Amino acid sequence: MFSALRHATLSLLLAVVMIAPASADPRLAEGTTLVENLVERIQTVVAAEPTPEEVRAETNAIIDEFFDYNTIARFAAGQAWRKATDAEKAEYKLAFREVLLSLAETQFEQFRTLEYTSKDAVAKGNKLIVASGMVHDITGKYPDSVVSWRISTRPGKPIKIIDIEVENISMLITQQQENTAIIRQNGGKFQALIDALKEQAQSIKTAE
Amino acid sequence: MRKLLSVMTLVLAGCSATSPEIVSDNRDPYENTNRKVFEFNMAVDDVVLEPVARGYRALPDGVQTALTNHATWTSYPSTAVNSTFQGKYENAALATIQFLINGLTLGFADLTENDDDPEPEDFGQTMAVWNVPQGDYVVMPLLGPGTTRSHVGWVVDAVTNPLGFMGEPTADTIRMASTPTSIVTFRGNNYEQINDIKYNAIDPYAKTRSLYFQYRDGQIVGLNSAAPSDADKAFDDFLDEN
Repeated sequence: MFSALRHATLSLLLAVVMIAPASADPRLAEGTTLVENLVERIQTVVAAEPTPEEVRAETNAIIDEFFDYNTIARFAAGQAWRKATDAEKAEYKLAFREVLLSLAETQFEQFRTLEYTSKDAVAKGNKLIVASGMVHDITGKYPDSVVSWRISTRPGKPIKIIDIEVENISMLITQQQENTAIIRQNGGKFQALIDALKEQAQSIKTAE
Repeated sequence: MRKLLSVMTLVLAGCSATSPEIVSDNRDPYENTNRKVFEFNMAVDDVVLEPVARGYRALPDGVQTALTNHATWTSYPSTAVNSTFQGKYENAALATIQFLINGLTLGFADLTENDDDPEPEDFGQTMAVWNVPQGDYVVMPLLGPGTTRSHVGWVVDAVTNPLGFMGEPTADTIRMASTPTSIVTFRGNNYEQINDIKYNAIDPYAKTRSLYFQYRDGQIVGLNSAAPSDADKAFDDFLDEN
């Protein structure tokens, strides 16, 4: 009898030990909560009928609070980042941020009709997790889409979003490949990317 | 068959070979030529496609849905055949059933009201499953972006479309109209997104190329694949180095 009891206890312990690491990764719940908080924050801002200036200020705050802007900017610059001077890097970061803010100003209203439901989160090694969810447009204009959020979970650093992927299309990979093309088409000049970003921000504002 | 397709893909790649060019992506060795074709396609979009897509969007929602349904329906025979080639028998059965049932209305109405639609499959995807190399990125006049493999696949799909073997004038007309219908519904249903690339991107050509490769990889590997994607690997490497 004791043998049977010991066998059952050992089996139970073994099962707990095997299941525990997968279900106890705190990064997954943390990442899901981060995304849900971001969505809630955006919905609160949209509901307050903000002016363009308020949208800009809120977007600036949202970028700093929820996104790892430095990592995003560096990744988007591609390999050219390493050869850029400190002055170019600083100018590029400002120009890139300006593009994001200009886009937010013109497209923020689109969030009004979107609903987000968290689905799941998976770990991709010890520095990255991907949280996924479903976006539903209440007007029915757009079909439901799966959205994945790549979240950096580097030990000792705050957990932050670094990429958004819709139907296998990564926003940041797209931006990086576009930026790389600009630099290579202009003989490897990093300044060409900065100029193009400034021009883009201006053209988005003009088109408003 | 697979060897023959590999050879066809390589020949098509060779036909478009030019002198070495400075390129911004190694998958795109004919970038300078491709950019010119892309500009031509954008000019056609300005004059023809964008205005037609605007007209499509002005149609009542029901008419837009019917046209989209019809365009999807005409792709089911190809999906059924290619799913079979890839061993995706459930998808093949689903495409066949939906083609037969919705065929009662020529595909304009979705009589099945089934949320579980078949995944689109084409011969380019079949060749990918057969490990035929994707070849180089080539922008074709009017047809748009693709790789040598996907363009060969498009030709094979067009030639072997089961609608073409039915011998019925109606089936032949549907087959002939399917490409323009698909192009117009695609442009209309993705109007804002395409215009965003066209008017807001810093380099619309490079952005289109990037979107094409990522979207196509998703189609081939499967959006729900558990394997790490190329993007996952790229981010993982980046976070390791920084």
